[in-house]
Amino acid sequence: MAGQALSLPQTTIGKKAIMAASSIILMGFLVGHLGGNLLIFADNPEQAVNAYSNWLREFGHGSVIWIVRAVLIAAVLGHIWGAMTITARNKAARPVGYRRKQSLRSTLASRTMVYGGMAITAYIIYHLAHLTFHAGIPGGFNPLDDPAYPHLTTNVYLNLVESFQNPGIVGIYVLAQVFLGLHLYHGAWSFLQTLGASHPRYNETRKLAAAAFAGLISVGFILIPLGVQFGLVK
Amino acid sequence: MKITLHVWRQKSAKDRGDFETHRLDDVSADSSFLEMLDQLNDGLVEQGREPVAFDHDCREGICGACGMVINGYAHGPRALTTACQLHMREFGDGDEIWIEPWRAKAFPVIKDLAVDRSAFDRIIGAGGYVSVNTGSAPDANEIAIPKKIADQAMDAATCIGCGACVAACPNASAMLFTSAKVSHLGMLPQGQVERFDRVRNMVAQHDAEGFGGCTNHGECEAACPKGISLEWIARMNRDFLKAMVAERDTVSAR
Ligand code: HEM
Ligand code: SF4
Ligand code: FES
Repeated sequence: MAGQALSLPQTTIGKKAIMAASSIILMGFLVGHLGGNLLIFADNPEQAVNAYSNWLREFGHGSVIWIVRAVLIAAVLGHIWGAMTITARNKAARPVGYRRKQSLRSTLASRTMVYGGMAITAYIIYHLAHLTFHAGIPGGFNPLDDPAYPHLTTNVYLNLVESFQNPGIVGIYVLAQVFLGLHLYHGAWSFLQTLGASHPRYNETRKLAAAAFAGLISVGFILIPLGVQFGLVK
Repeated sequence: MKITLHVWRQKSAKDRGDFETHRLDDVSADSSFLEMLDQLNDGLVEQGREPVAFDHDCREGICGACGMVINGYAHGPRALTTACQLHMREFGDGDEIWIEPWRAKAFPVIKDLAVDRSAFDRIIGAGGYVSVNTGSAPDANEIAIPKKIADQAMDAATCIGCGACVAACPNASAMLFTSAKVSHLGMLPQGQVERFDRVRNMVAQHDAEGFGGCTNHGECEAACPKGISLEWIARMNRDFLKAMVAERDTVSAR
């Protein structure tokens, strides 16, 4: 057969497998990130959040955060590259559309994956500018020079609390999590299907588990801005 | 019953095409969908006009020749039913019915509702076979196959190659068809020799034909008249990833 020497990323299944593999990393990140951020509901949130943030920068002599960042950037880029090439291909595969078309099995989530992905990308850019690079914190940059947190130059806790007292910022964060939840509702079962994990024994559970995961992640993250806004954070 | 039809008319692959509206006043509820189209065509021929071109052969749901999108559903609104096995009693008196061809770059329209599905033949040609020695017929029970395995292989083998999966897929992907054809052979002992070359080559051919990629919408499974399951796509993905990552070529030289 001529022209069969394809490499994995050149094939439709290979592209999806790359998206699935990178999404495992991203979903793992979400779990860890949510767990860490929920420290804002601790008894002494300022201490808990800042200590955690300090620890992130100190862990493994400060190397781990950079390794994790590098892996996350690679995962995001791989995921986006797969999404763009697959979407372009899929649009090209039907140059003339239907006048009438009914959906039987696809969901709002499955049909909006690429739009949700774009919204999440925009959100990640905004979110990094906001809380990693400290742009647009309502009270301005909150410098911190506390020997208890040698690796922090800013009061991470105060950044969060000041920001989430602003309903506009809360709105952006909540909306982003709705998109994320929708993305995960389809994504969290789809990645298993892509990697070939399908069996009648667990396929029902697979769908339910994905929905539960999507719900827990997005509701979990939404609790943080809402918690601050409605004064549930001590 | 009375019905109004909006049928896609297109002279050739190059023509732009458009819908044409026809009214039929005395359609029997017991006629099949294709018999209704025959009735339309008889009328058109009497008027000296071009009949509507559509594919059909067995008219009993087993050959896979027929296929059109009816009111937005591949093969019409009835589940697990080909267009030829659809009956007019599925519709109401006075209904409007929209009929469109399968829409995919890899399935160019030949004329009206007839599309060129030879891309499927080329996918089969790339690996949908087992190589056997000719000569005297082997003994029927020479290779024992467990009943459950035979049944599953048969489930995949019921794919009739109609193309409804492509038509229904928002990505115009042919992964359901390809997975059925990869798997019904891959399930059986006779299919093991070429198993990993087969999946590699058939997927490569699928992609080369310009079909879209699977994003797990599940529209194909819902539209398939033979109930081919998404599980076959997962199985093909397993075999494909294994083939790409770990398996050497077995038969075909590169
Ligand atoms: C409303 C929920 C969220 C809150 C409150 C939140 C909070 C934070 C905070 C405080 C930081 C800075 C950490 C530090 O400097 O110690 C951060 C960083 C980050 N967040 Fe979020 N986050 C949320 C949701 C998300 C989501 C959904 C994503 C997307 C996948 C995300 C991606 C990131 C990334 C990539 C970083 C940068 C990590 C780094 O600095 O290396 N966050 N977030
Ligand atoms: S998988 Fe189903 S819909 Fe697709 S070609 Fe085979 S029989 Fe038709
Ligand atoms: S004409 Fe053979 S399946 Fe419909």
